[in-house]
Amino acid sequence: MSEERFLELLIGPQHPGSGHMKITAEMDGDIIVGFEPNIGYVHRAVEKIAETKTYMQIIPLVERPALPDTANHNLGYTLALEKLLGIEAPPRAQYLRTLLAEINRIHSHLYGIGIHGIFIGSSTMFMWAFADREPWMELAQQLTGARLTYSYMIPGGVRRNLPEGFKDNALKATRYMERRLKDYDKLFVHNPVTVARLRDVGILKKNLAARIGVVGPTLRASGISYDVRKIEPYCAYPHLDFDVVVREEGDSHARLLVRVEEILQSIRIIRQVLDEVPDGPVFLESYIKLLSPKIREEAEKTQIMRFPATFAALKPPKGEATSRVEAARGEVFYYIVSDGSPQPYRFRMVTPSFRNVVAFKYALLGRRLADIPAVYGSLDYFPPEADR
Amino acid sequence: MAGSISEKLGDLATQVSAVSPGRLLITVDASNIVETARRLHEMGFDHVKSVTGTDYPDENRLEVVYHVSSFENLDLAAFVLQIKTSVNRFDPNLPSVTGIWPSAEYLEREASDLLGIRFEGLSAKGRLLLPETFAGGPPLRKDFKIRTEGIDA
Repeated sequence: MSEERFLELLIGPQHPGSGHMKITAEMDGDIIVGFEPNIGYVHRAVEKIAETKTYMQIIPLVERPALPDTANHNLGYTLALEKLLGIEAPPRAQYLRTLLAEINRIHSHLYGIGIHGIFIGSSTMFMWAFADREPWMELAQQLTGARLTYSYMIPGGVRRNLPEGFKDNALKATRYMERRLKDYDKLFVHNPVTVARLRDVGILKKNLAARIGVVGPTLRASGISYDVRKIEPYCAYPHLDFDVVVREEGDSHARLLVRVEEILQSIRIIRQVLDEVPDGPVFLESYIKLLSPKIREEAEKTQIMRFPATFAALKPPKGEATSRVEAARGEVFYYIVSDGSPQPYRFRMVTPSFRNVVAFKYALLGRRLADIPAVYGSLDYFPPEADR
Repeated sequence: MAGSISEKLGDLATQVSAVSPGRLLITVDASNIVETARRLHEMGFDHVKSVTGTDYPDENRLEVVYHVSSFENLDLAAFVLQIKTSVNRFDPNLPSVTGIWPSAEYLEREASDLLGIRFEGLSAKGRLLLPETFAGGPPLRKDFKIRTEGIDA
């Protein structure tokens, strides 16, 4: 501390409020002049553990850090692994992957909006958003068999085909969500209290956002049109019609609005996927041939693929692969080094929340102490995702 | 793209090549890393996505890879540059690129914490992900073994 007039204020690491993180704020009166997040309280060594696991065992591992958004983390890893293996999933599987990725994006954004709500005192917004995750979790369960940790995407395709009646349920959920977003708008999103707390608060200017390297809605709310689904399209995204939501303001309200509008875009994508999903296998045919006749027959009958034992010793050839996908909170980046053994030699996973930690240092400078929850909530920061 | 980068970097890089769609490999000597960063930044590569250290004990080196791309220039955003360099495993010193790319701050701190790489010029001190009391060696080095729990332990 340089001068005596500044007070060092410690916030956290008890959750909730600081969210498994210790913040050291340097205060001049109630004005923030320094803000240093100290993370790692929920670090679980995902990268190190991955080096001791087989490639299939890593699928559930990469899902754990980001529970509201497991599909996108699963997807990024699977795409990197497929690059190592030199394979590509069939078109129907690509559409089903996109479907689950967007269901998860809505789920994750609702989670973020709900937390943002309670942070600035709207417990109703928290209750509503958290409850409205339910239809999306149920849809995911119908598709994958699980509510949160799906392990749905495997190298070569997806584990299950679209179940009967799914389309009607999904369309119902999209209509429900559209209605609810109108309620959210009145109660919270454009409520004068919310606007007063968030507008012009916690501004990240365009140039700064790019320099410090934030990702996802936080980046796009600062006027940068970077969305991996458009920049390096994967799965079914090249064939789908959707807009990248960008806002120029860079403040806490803009970040909230980007998330709300992205839910509408996800609904648009889901409807297209349901209409346009092509027929055909959901798993690579050359891999299906490797299965024993009994498992093959069972998979054909039930349209559910069990993890075949053949995969336990999956050995990608020596080499490296990288992948990036647009997860709900932003870009997730994978880099895998294979030495030809059943475990990766080096496994690198950089999550959006980790990339966004740096935003805390800049967004709050010059703001008042009372603005911390308003800005924190707007960043949709998820400590387990950052700490991995 | 490989051509224009090669031209911009001149003698700095020992290799510039396209390795797969949208991915370029650039290898440089550790002493040239900041100048390489400066020139790529001039071209519009404005952020770092990842700083990854990989331990190769048999070769007595730590390989460090910077994955770099652009947010503001969407044409450049289609590319991810992989800038590779190596440092001695027992004396892993590297100049920090945070002066050019502030986005590398937490990534370098992580590599410092988990791999024991020292980044000269990195202002932040102390551990990032590990507890301050952590006494073992850098856990992402190959000689660090995870202690398992349960029936086999």
